[in-house]
Amino acid sequence: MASVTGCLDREDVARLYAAHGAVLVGYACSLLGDRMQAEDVVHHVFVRLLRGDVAVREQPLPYLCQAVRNTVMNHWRKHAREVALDDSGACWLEAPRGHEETALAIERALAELPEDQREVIVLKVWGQLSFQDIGEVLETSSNTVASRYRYGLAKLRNLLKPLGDE
Amino acid sequence: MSSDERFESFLREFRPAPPRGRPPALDAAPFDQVVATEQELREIVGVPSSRAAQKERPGLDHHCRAFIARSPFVLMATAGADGRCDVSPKGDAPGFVRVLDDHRLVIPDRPGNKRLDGMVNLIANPHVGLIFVVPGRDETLRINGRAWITRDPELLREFTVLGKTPLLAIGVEVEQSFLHCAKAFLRSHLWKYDEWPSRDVLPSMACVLYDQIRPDGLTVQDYERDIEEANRRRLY
Repeated sequence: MASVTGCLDREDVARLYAAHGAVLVGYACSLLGDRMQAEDVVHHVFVRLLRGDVAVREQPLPYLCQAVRNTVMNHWRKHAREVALDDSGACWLEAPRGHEETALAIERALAELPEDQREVIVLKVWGQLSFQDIGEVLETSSNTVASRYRYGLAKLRNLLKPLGDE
Repeated sequence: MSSDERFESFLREFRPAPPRGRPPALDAAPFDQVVATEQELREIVGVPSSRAAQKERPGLDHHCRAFIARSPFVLMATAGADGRCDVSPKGDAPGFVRVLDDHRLVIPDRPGNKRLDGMVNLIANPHVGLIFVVPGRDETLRINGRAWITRDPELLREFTVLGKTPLLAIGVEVEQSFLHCAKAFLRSHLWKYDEWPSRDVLPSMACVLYDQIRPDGLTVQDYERDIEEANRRRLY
């Protein structure tokens, strides 16, 4: 894959999309609460990537997450309809067969967390980013990220306790 | 493994679902500066006027019926299961498309080229878009809905022309209808026949086909004869 900025060719972009599309849609969805809009945001980011408007480096996921986040913050929220986080229209987690209810419960519990904790959890658990990478995405220190994560995770466990799945 | 790690791995049993659309790489490829979202499109073009937004009707009112009764020509758009689209023209005497009630109309299937692109699509995907044209009128009637191919003999009998009853008809359930504004026709001067080019500025269909197919042992004249005969004898 092309390193540093450089223009990516279609195959590079298709590979990135296959590798990270799901996590990015999940991340956008956890911010927007709407899967259609989330897919639009990710699509938008990849189109900009194709045009060379978004730069990625060796480890592309943090940069892509940041591009998704910027798109959501700067652009989408200003124009899009009211964000409805408790809306069951999110549906970004795929469940093992028979566990669909649990997936929905996880999404709902996440939606109840404060946004700054929620996004750290999504990026850490499903994006598998380090606290330092997340700090770069969110433009904050890795200590802050780690503490948001601890608080968020504890809250999430509490919300999901009725499932008894642990 | 700490209990936090156990909880994390429990959460990871649920994976983010992959995006449903095709990778943008494939969509955006052959052109630059591609507009990829409705959001972006709206920012460029704006939103429809309230009149344009309000003109949709959920069925066929008397204005739609009158338009269809005077229309000898309709374009039918269909899409296959994979979303690939097709548009084909249908035409006959004005009123050849019958309105059955406020939500249903029927288009007889006259003999064509037997490619059946549109009907094959309808079997996989019933959604259909129609544009009715009335000669000399600058507005068109647009109808969107779902369609089925029917062989109901009682229905087909009503479409008999010169003793020939169609084998099939396309029955449409109307979901949306509205008059499309005149601008395309006004800009194109479509009905100003004194501006029409003479018929021979383009090569004949026979010439084009001959050129494209280059059949062994046939001449352009053979093609012309075949096409002329088909147009004369196999319209119904």
